[in-house]
Amino acid sequence: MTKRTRYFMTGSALILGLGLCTGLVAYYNGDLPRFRSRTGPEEFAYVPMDATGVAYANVREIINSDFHQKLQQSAFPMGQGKQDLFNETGIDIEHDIDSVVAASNNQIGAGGQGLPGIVLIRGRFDEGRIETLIRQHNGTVQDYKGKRLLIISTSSPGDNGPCLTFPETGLALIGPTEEVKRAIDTRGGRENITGNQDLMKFVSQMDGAGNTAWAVGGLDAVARDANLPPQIKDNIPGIQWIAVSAHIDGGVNGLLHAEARDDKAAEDLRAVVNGAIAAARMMGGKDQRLDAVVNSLQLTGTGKELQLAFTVPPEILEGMAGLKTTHDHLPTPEKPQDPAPNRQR
Amino acid sequence: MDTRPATAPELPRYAPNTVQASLRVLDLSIGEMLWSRRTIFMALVVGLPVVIAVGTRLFVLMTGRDWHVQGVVADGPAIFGLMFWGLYMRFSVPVLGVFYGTSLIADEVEDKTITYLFTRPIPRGAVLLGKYLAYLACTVFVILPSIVVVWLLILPMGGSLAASFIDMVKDLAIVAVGLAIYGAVFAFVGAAVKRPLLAGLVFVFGWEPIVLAMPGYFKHLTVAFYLQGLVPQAMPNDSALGLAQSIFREIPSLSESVVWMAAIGIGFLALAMRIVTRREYVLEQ
Repeated sequence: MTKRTRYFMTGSALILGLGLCTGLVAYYNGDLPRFRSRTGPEEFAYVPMDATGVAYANVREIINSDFHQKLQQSAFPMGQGKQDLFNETGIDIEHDIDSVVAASNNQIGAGGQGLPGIVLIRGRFDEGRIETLIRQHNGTVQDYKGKRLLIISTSSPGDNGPCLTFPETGLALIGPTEEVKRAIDTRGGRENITGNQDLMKFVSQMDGAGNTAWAVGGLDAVARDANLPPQIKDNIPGIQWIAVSAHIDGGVNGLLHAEARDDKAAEDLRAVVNGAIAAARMMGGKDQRLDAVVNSLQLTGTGKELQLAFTVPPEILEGMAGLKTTHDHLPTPEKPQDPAPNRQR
Repeated sequence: MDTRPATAPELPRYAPNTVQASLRVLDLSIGEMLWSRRTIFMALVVGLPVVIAVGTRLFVLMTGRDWHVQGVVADGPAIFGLMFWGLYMRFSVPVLGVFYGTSLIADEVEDKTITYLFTRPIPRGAVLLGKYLAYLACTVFVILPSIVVVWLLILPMGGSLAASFIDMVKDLAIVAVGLAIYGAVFAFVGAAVKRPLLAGLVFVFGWEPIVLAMPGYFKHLTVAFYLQGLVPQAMPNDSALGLAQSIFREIPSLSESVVWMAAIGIGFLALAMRIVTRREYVLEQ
């Protein structure tokens, strides 16, 4: 074997070895965030940096899951509402919606009202039909930086009514008008939620890790809300961040992740949750399905962290289907007869 | 001054067995194979996916936008699955198998150098076995790093390296198996047929795709059919990429695939060695 061949083989083996070692390290550490091209969904480009909470749902995956099929058969069938939405807007939820991103903040609008946040829906929309519908309901159309804002008419004073726009093909942006304008500005600029390191720390753990839906929010920001009644403010536990993620397939495998203000608060919280789990186990034994859920609860975490894993098995949904069937077959209670006709003197 | 006569290097006093001989042929052939004209072709075949991966990653980095296929986001795992199946499993592996496998003996015949190999005191079958091992080493050391680089570039685009690592290791193993099987089949074709390259290309681009798309038992007479049994994780499963899936509806079980591929690989290699051992090659003047 010549020297050149030997060098080539060594180089090849090195590349292969480095790649495999990188994969192995990622496999044992959960992931390698530095390798990711972008953390979070593409729609984050519209979410302002000061968002206090975000949530993501892969609607397509949820709709295709066995969980959804069972849910449809059991307790929550989408019937007339879905049909009405389709008739009015042409949107078929089961086929036209791919994903949803929602973001909240604690901003105060021009009228002194709180701005709830924005919702970004990725899918296929008949934009013309939706605009016509909004116009028919006295909605107005405004142009903002080249985007058509469809402002829905409301009875409330001020010009910050609900607004819908399609900032790009296949993306709907919904929210109060001011927030929608901010979102468009955010897309045009460079600063967005991906610059919020505290929040993105949780997002990077949940996004792309096989989760169908996840949400993360900062409770500190909620506590700072001037509009929040002091009674509620004082009772918010010492949690800074809370995140929930779930993989939805036949059942639901979820993880609740909380970060307390300090170690003491986390310790107290762990004790409370442990107590609650123990109490639930003590009271269990009547329903095997519920027992399976309670037994799946696993509390872990050290320092300021707290993680609670849970599983909702498919049998729970089947149980709900059973309940619905039972309910459907129950005899309808007879209406009490109007006593008036019998009232005779 | 040393006045002792110079001594000739000590020659082995015994003829090496098939394994020893094939390892010597491997050592001799690997350099020849790696730095031949075919290297340019191999560089193109394995370099193209890397170039596509770099381009895709740069596009996503610069625009901050995802790839969309029919309105659905094509994330890293989906793109990698498509590239792995379409570029490596259905193109690079069979094509390299054809080009290198058919040339193992045919090149020596064409260059009229086979006489030099056959006059050595080694079993004739060992020549083919050594060259086959050289082909395997050469292609494996080129294709596998290429797949790893593509995986590192593409997967993090909305996917998780951790979640896909095990599948990627399986993919690497499957590619190595694919190269071994195709190589054995085409080594036999190269030893038995007069125009092996043409026959190999017809098999890879004619017979296999047509037969796989057709219902019936004929698909059992292909290598790709059994390779599918090993790659369920790599086959595109997105609705937008359903064409390939619709073609390959019938997939053999893992055990069936393993047994048949072992039989094909060992069988064709043994047949090729037997042909080389028994055939009288007449060199054209």
